[in-house]
Amino acid sequence: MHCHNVEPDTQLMCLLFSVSVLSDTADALGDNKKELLQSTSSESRSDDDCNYSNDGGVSVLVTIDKHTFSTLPQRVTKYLHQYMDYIATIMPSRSDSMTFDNDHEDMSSSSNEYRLVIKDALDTKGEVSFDFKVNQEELVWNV
Amino acid sequence: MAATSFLHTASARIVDKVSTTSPLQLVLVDNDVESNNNNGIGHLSHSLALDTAYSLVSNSSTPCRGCNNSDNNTNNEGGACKCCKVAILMFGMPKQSRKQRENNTNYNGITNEYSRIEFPMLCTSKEGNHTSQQAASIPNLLQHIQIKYVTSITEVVKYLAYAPSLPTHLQPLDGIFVSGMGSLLSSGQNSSMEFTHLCKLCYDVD
Repeated sequence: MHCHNVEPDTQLMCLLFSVSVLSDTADALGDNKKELLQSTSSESRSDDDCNYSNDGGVSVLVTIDKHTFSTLPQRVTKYLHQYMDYIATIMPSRSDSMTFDNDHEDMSSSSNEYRLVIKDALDTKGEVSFDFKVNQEELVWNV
Repeated sequence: MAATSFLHTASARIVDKVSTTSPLQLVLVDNDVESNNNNGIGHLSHSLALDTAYSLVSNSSTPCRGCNNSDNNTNNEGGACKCCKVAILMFGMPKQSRKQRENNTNYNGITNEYSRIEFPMLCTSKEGNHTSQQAASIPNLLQHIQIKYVTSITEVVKYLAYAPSLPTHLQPLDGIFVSGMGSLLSSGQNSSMEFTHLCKLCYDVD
Protein backbone atom coordinates (compact mmCIF):
# COMPACT_ATOMS: atom_id res chain seq x y z
CA MET A 1 0.00 0.00 0.00
CA HIS A 2 1.31 3.44 -0.85
CA CYS A 3 1.16 6.60 1.17
CA HIS A 4 0.20 9.37 -1.18
CA ASN A 5 0.65 12.11 1.36
CA VAL A 6 3.94 13.37 0.02
CA GLU A 7 3.80 16.81 -1.54
CA PRO A 8 3.96 16.67 -5.35
CA ASP A 9 6.79 19.19 -5.45
CA THR A 10 8.83 17.06 -3.07
CA GLN A 11 8.18 14.00 -5.22
CA LEU A 12 9.41 15.80 -8.32
CA MET A 13 12.48 17.11 -6.56
CA CYS A 14 13.19 13.65 -5.16
CA LEU A 15 12.88 12.00 -8.56
CA LEU A 16 15.05 14.44 -10.47
CA PHE A 17 17.65 14.65 -7.76
CA SER A 18 17.91 10.90 -7.24
CA VAL A 19 18.13 10.24 -10.98
CA SER A 20 20.84 12.88 -11.36
CA VAL A 21 22.81 11.41 -8.45
CA LEU A 22 22.32 7.96 -9.97
CA SER A 23 23.77 9.24 -13.24
CA ASP A 24 26.71 10.92 -11.48
CA THR A 25 27.40 7.75 -9.50
CA ALA A 26 27.37 5.68 -12.68
CA ASP A 27 29.88 8.09 -14.23
CA ALA A 28 32.14 7.90 -11.19
CA LEU A 29 31.96 4.10 -11.11
CA GLY A 30 32.61 4.07 -14.85
CA ASP A 31 35.84 5.98 -14.27
CA ASN A 32 36.84 3.50 -11.57
CA LYS A 33 36.07 0.66 -13.95
CA LYS A 34 38.18 2.15 -16.73
CA GLU A 35 41.12 2.57 -14.38
CA LEU A 36 40.77 -1.01 -13.21
CA LEU A 37 40.56 -2.40 -16.72
CA GLN A 38 43.48 -0.31 -17.92
CA SER A 39 45.62 -1.50 -15.04
CA THR A 40 44.87 -5.14 -15.73
CA SER A 41 44.50 -5.11 -19.51
CA SER A 42 48.07 -5.81 -20.47
CA GLU A 43 48.56 -9.04 -18.58
CA SER A 44 45.36 -10.77 -17.61
CA ARG A 45 42.62 -10.15 -20.16
CA SER A 46 42.26 -12.54 -22.99
CA ASP A 47 40.75 -11.93 -26.42
CA ASP A 48 37.65 -13.82 -25.38
CA ASP A 49 37.00 -11.35 -22.59
CA CYS A 50 37.03 -8.50 -25.04
CA ASN A 51 34.31 -10.01 -27.18
CA TYR A 52 31.67 -9.45 -24.56
CA SER A 53 33.13 -6.56 -22.70
CA ASN A 54 31.01 -3.82 -21.31
CA ASP A 55 33.91 -1.47 -20.85
CA GLY A 56 32.13 1.71 -21.81
CA GLY A 57 30.50 2.38 -18.49
CA VAL A 58 27.96 1.36 -15.93
CA SER A 59 24.37 0.51 -16.85
CA VAL A 60 21.56 2.28 -15.04
CA LEU A 61 17.98 1.09 -14.77
CA VAL A 62 15.07 2.62 -12.88
CA THR A 63 11.70 0.91 -12.63
CA ILE A 64 8.65 2.98 -11.80
CA ASP A 65 4.95 2.19 -11.75
CA LYS A 66 2.69 3.56 -14.43
CA HIS A 67 0.51 5.53 -12.04
CA THR A 68 3.38 7.55 -10.58
CA PHE A 69 5.02 8.08 -13.95
CA SER A 70 1.82 9.30 -15.56
CA THR A 71 1.29 11.87 -12.82
CA LEU A 72 4.66 13.48 -13.49
CA PRO A 73 4.36 16.72 -15.45
CA GLN A 74 5.52 16.59 -19.05
CA ARG A 75 8.26 19.11 -18.34
CA VAL A 76 9.80 16.76 -15.79
CA THR A 77 9.85 13.71 -18.02
CA LYS A 78 11.60 15.83 -20.63
CA TYR A 79 14.36 16.56 -18.15
CA LEU A 80 15.03 12.85 -17.87
CA HIS A 81 16.87 12.79 -21.18
CA GLN A 82 19.77 14.49 -19.44
CA TYR A 83 20.32 11.34 -17.42
CA MET A 84 18.61 8.52 -19.26
CA ASP A 85 18.77 7.38 -22.87
CA TYR A 86 15.53 5.40 -23.10
CA ILE A 87 12.07 5.15 -21.63
CA ALA A 88 10.42 1.75 -21.96
CA THR A 89 6.80 1.10 -21.08
CA ILE A 90 5.14 -2.25 -20.44
CA MET A 91 1.51 -2.42 -21.52
CA PRO A 92 -1.04 -5.07 -22.38
CA SER A 93 -0.88 -6.07 -26.02
CA ARG A 94 -3.71 -4.19 -27.76
CA SER A 95 -3.97 -6.25 -30.91
CA ASP A 96 -4.91 -9.57 -29.37
CA SER A 97 -7.70 -8.09 -27.29
CA MET A 98 -9.51 -7.31 -30.53
CA THR A 99 -9.00 -10.67 -32.18
CA PHE A 100 -12.07 -12.61 -31.38
CA ASP A 101 -11.81 -14.94 -34.30
CA ASN A 102 -13.34 -18.35 -34.85
CA ASP A 103 -10.95 -19.94 -32.44
CA HIS A 104 -11.78 -18.62 -29.05
CA GLU A 105 -8.63 -20.10 -27.64
CA ASP A 106 -6.69 -16.85 -27.70
CA MET A 107 -9.16 -15.01 -25.54
CA SER A 108 -8.04 -16.73 -22.40
CA SER A 109 -4.39 -16.14 -23.11
CA SER A 110 -4.71 -12.55 -24.26
CA SER A 111 -4.21 -11.23 -20.74
CA ASN A 112 -0.78 -12.86 -20.77
CA GLU A 113 0.38 -10.97 -23.82
CA TYR A 114 2.20 -7.71 -23.38
CA ARG A 115 4.10 -5.14 -25.35
CA LEU A 116 7.29 -3.31 -24.51
CA VAL A 117 7.23 0.13 -26.11
CA ILE A 118 10.63 1.76 -26.09
CA LYS A 119 11.67 5.21 -27.21
CA ASP A 120 14.66 7.46 -26.74
CA ALA A 121 14.20 9.92 -23.90
CA LEU A 122 14.40 12.90 -26.26
CA ASP A 123 11.66 11.32 -28.34
CA THR A 124 13.38 12.14 -31.61
CA LYS A 125 13.66 8.68 -33.13
CA GLY A 126 10.10 7.52 -32.72
CA GLU A 127 9.21 4.43 -30.75
CA VAL A 128 9.65 0.74 -31.32
CA SER A 129 7.51 -1.96 -29.77
CA PHE A 130 8.15 -5.61 -29.05
CA ASP A 131 5.67 -8.25 -27.98
CA PHE A 132 6.19 -10.74 -25.24
CA LYS A 133 4.16 -13.43 -23.53
CA VAL A 134 3.99 -14.70 -20.02
CA ASN A 135 3.60 -18.45 -19.83
CA GLN A 136 3.26 -19.46 -16.20
CA GLU A 137 6.73 -18.83 -14.81
CA GLU A 138 8.37 -17.86 -18.07
CA LEU A 139 8.52 -14.61 -19.97
CA VAL A 140 9.10 -15.18 -23.69
CA TRP A 141 10.15 -12.18 -25.75
CA ASN A 142 10.25 -11.76 -29.47
CA VAL A 143 12.67 -9.24 -30.98
CA MET B 1 28.42 -18.12 -24.74
CA ALA B 2 27.03 -14.84 -23.48
CA ALA B 3 23.45 -13.79 -24.05
CA THR B 4 21.76 -10.44 -24.11
CA SER B 5 18.67 -9.35 -22.25
CA PHE B 6 15.34 -8.27 -23.66
CA LEU B 7 15.91 -4.63 -22.64
CA HIS B 8 19.41 -4.54 -24.13
CA THR B 9 18.22 -6.03 -27.38
CA ALA B 10 15.19 -3.76 -27.62
CA SER B 11 17.18 -0.59 -26.87
CA ALA B 12 19.80 -1.56 -29.43
CA ARG B 13 17.12 -1.89 -32.10
CA ILE B 14 15.88 1.66 -31.71
CA VAL B 15 19.18 3.09 -32.88
CA ASP B 16 20.11 0.18 -35.15
CA LYS B 17 23.16 -0.57 -33.10
CA VAL B 18 24.86 -3.85 -33.76
CA SER B 19 26.27 -4.16 -30.28
CA THR B 20 23.98 -4.98 -27.41
CA THR B 21 26.68 -4.74 -24.79
CA SER B 22 27.00 -0.99 -24.43
CA PRO B 23 25.77 0.48 -21.13
CA LEU B 24 22.06 0.88 -20.77
CA GLN B 25 20.42 3.98 -19.28
CA LEU B 26 16.75 3.25 -19.12
CA VAL B 27 13.56 4.06 -17.23
CA LEU B 28 11.20 1.08 -17.22
CA VAL B 29 7.56 2.02 -16.66
CA ASP B 30 5.59 -0.90 -15.35
CA ASN B 31 2.14 -2.07 -16.25
CA ASP B 32 -0.93 -1.42 -14.11
CA VAL B 33 -1.05 -1.98 -10.40
CA GLU B 34 -2.78 -5.37 -10.66
CA SER B 35 0.43 -7.01 -11.78
CA ASN B 36 2.41 -5.49 -8.92
CA ASN B 37 3.68 -7.21 -5.85
CA ASN B 38 2.64 -5.93 -2.47
CA ASN B 39 5.61 -3.63 -2.40
CA GLY B 40 4.62 -1.81 -5.55
CA ILE B 41 7.26 -3.46 -7.72
CA GLY B 42 5.72 -4.97 -10.82
CA HIS B 43 6.41 -8.62 -11.43
CA LEU B 44 7.12 -7.97 -15.10
CA SER B 45 9.53 -5.10 -14.55
CA HIS B 46 11.16 -7.00 -11.69
CA SER B 47 11.74 -9.98 -13.97
CA LEU B 48 13.06 -7.84 -16.83
CA ALA B 49 15.39 -5.99 -14.46
CA LEU B 50 16.80 -9.25 -13.12
CA ASP B 51 17.15 -10.54 -16.68
CA THR B 52 19.19 -7.44 -17.51
CA ALA B 53 21.31 -7.90 -14.40
CA TYR B 54 22.03 -11.52 -15.32
CA SER B 55 23.03 -10.38 -18.79
CA LEU B 56 25.37 -7.71 -17.46
CA VAL B 57 27.05 -10.14 -15.11
CA SER B 58 27.41 -12.91 -17.67
CA ASN B 59 28.84 -10.47 -20.24
CA SER B 60 31.08 -8.68 -17.81
CA SER B 61 34.81 -8.69 -18.30
CA THR B 62 35.51 -6.91 -15.03
CA PRO B 63 38.19 -8.92 -13.27
CA CYS B 64 38.15 -10.00 -9.67
CA ARG B 65 39.00 -7.08 -7.41
CA GLY B 66 40.38 -8.96 -4.48
CA CYS B 67 37.34 -10.30 -2.69
CA ASN B 68 38.18 -12.84 -0.02
CA ASN B 69 36.56 -15.65 -1.93
CA SER B 70 38.70 -15.43 -5.04
CA ASP B 71 41.74 -17.47 -5.93
CA ASN B 72 43.03 -14.79 -8.26
CA ASN B 73 40.46 -16.14 -10.63
CA THR B 74 39.05 -13.67 -13.11
CA ASN B 75 36.67 -16.10 -14.70
CA ASN B 76 33.01 -15.42 -13.86
CA GLU B 77 31.84 -18.91 -14.45
CA GLY B 78 34.52 -21.04 -12.97
CA GLY B 79 35.89 -19.14 -10.01
CA ALA B 80 34.61 -18.44 -6.55
CA CYS B 81 34.87 -14.68 -6.99
CA LYS B 82 32.06 -12.78 -5.30
CA CYS B 83 32.90 -9.24 -6.35
CA CYS B 84 29.83 -7.06 -6.78
CA LYS B 85 29.03 -6.26 -10.40
CA VAL B 86 25.42 -5.13 -10.24
CA ALA B 87 23.63 -3.50 -7.31
CA ILE B 88 19.85 -3.48 -7.15
CA LEU B 89 18.29 -1.02 -4.74
CA MET B 90 14.86 -2.44 -4.10
CA PHE B 91 11.98 -0.90 -2.22
CA GLY B 92 10.99 -3.00 0.77
CA MET B 93 12.51 -4.86 3.64
CA PRO B 94 14.36 -8.17 3.78
CA LYS B 95 12.45 -11.12 5.15
CA GLN B 96 12.20 -11.12 8.91
CA SER B 97 11.96 -13.93 11.34
CA ARG B 98 8.74 -14.41 13.28
CA LYS B 99 10.34 -12.91 16.38
CA GLN B 100 11.56 -9.90 14.43
CA ARG B 101 8.09 -9.42 12.98
CA GLU B 102 6.53 -9.47 16.42
CA ASN B 103 9.00 -6.95 17.74
CA ASN B 104 8.96 -4.76 14.70
CA THR B 105 5.64 -4.96 12.93
CA ASN B 106 5.62 -1.41 11.73
CA TYR B 107 9.10 -0.24 10.93
CA ASN B 108 8.94 3.29 9.61
CA GLY B 109 5.51 2.56 8.22
CA ILE B 110 6.78 -0.27 6.03
CA THR B 111 5.32 -3.52 7.28
CA ASN B 112 6.82 -6.88 6.54
CA GLU B 113 4.21 -7.62 3.87
CA TYR B 114 6.17 -5.36 1.56
CA SER B 115 9.02 -7.83 1.43
CA ARG B 116 6.93 -10.41 -0.38
CA ILE B 117 8.45 -10.06 -3.80
CA GLU B 118 7.52 -12.75 -6.24
CA PHE B 119 10.35 -14.80 -7.64
CA PRO B 120 11.41 -13.35 -10.99
CA MET B 121 10.29 -15.16 -14.10
CA LEU B 122 12.75 -16.78 -16.47
CA CYS B 123 13.13 -14.52 -19.49
CA THR B 124 13.77 -16.30 -22.75
CA SER B 125 13.86 -15.26 -26.35
CA LYS B 126 11.61 -16.95 -28.88
CA GLU B 127 14.75 -17.43 -30.92
CA GLY B 128 16.53 -19.35 -28.23
CA ASN B 129 18.31 -16.73 -26.17
CA HIS B 130 18.16 -18.00 -22.59
CA THR B 131 19.74 -15.32 -20.45
CA SER B 132 17.95 -16.09 -17.22
CA GLN B 133 18.15 -19.82 -17.62
CA GLN B 134 21.83 -19.54 -18.31
CA ALA B 135 22.31 -17.42 -15.22
CA ALA B 136 20.24 -19.73 -13.07
CA SER B 137 22.30 -22.67 -14.21
CA ILE B 138 25.49 -20.89 -13.21
CA PRO B 139 24.94 -19.99 -9.55
CA ASN B 140 28.24 -18.15 -9.38
CA LEU B 141 26.78 -15.43 -11.57
CA LEU B 142 24.15 -14.64 -8.97
CA GLN B 143 26.82 -14.01 -6.38
CA HIS B 144 27.79 -10.89 -8.26
CA ILE B 145 24.37 -9.27 -7.84
CA GLN B 146 23.88 -7.37 -4.60
CA ILE B 147 20.30 -6.63 -3.57
CA LYS B 148 19.96 -3.83 -1.08
CA TYR B 149 16.56 -3.11 0.42
CA VAL B 150 15.69 0.54 0.86
CA THR B 151 12.65 2.26 2.28
CA SER B 152 13.20 5.87 1.25
CA ILE B 153 14.81 8.02 -1.40
CA THR B 154 17.20 9.27 1.27
CA GLU B 155 18.62 5.76 1.65
CA VAL B 156 19.01 5.49 -2.11
CA VAL B 157 20.88 8.78 -2.35
CA LYS B 158 23.09 7.88 0.61
CA TYR B 159 24.09 4.59 -1.04
CA LEU B 160 24.73 6.32 -4.37
CA ALA B 161 26.85 8.96 -2.68
CA TYR B 162 29.23 6.45 -1.12
CA ALA B 163 29.15 3.73 -3.79
CA PRO B 164 32.22 4.99 -5.71
CA SER B 165 34.25 5.03 -2.51
CA LEU B 166 33.30 1.56 -1.32
CA PRO B 167 36.05 -1.08 -1.21
CA THR B 168 36.69 -1.98 -4.85
CA HIS B 169 35.23 -5.47 -4.63
CA LEU B 170 31.93 -4.00 -3.36
CA GLN B 171 31.57 -1.39 -6.10
CA PRO B 172 28.90 -2.26 -8.68
CA LEU B 173 31.05 -1.65 -11.75
CA ASP B 174 28.59 -3.00 -14.31
CA GLY B 175 25.23 -1.67 -13.24
CA ILE B 176 23.08 0.07 -10.64
CA PHE B 177 19.32 -0.49 -10.66
CA VAL B 178 16.63 1.22 -8.61
CA SER B 179 13.54 -0.94 -8.42
CA GLY B 180 10.22 0.52 -7.31
CA MET B 181 10.99 4.23 -7.66
CA GLY B 182 7.28 5.10 -7.55
CA SER B 183 6.89 3.46 -4.16
CA LEU B 184 10.02 5.18 -2.88
CA LEU B 185 8.69 8.55 -3.98
CA SER B 186 5.38 8.03 -2.26
CA SER B 187 6.59 6.16 0.80
CA GLY B 188 5.91 9.11 3.05
CA GLN B 189 9.41 8.94 4.52
CA ASN B 190 10.89 11.62 2.36
CA SER B 191 10.98 14.42 4.81
CA SER B 192 11.44 17.67 2.93
CA MET B 193 13.84 19.06 5.48
CA GLU B 194 16.00 15.96 5.65
CA PHE B 195 16.03 15.67 1.90
CA THR B 196 16.94 19.32 1.37
CA HIS B 197 19.78 18.90 3.84
CA LEU B 198 20.98 15.81 1.98
CA CYS B 199 20.86 17.67 -1.34
CA LYS B 200 22.94 20.44 0.15
CA LEU B 201 25.54 17.99 1.47
CA CYS B 202 25.85 16.31 -1.95
CA TYR B 203 26.26 19.60 -3.76
CA ASP B 204 28.82 20.80 -1.18
CA VAL B 205 30.89 17.68 -1.89
CA ASP B 206 30.93 18.61 -5.60
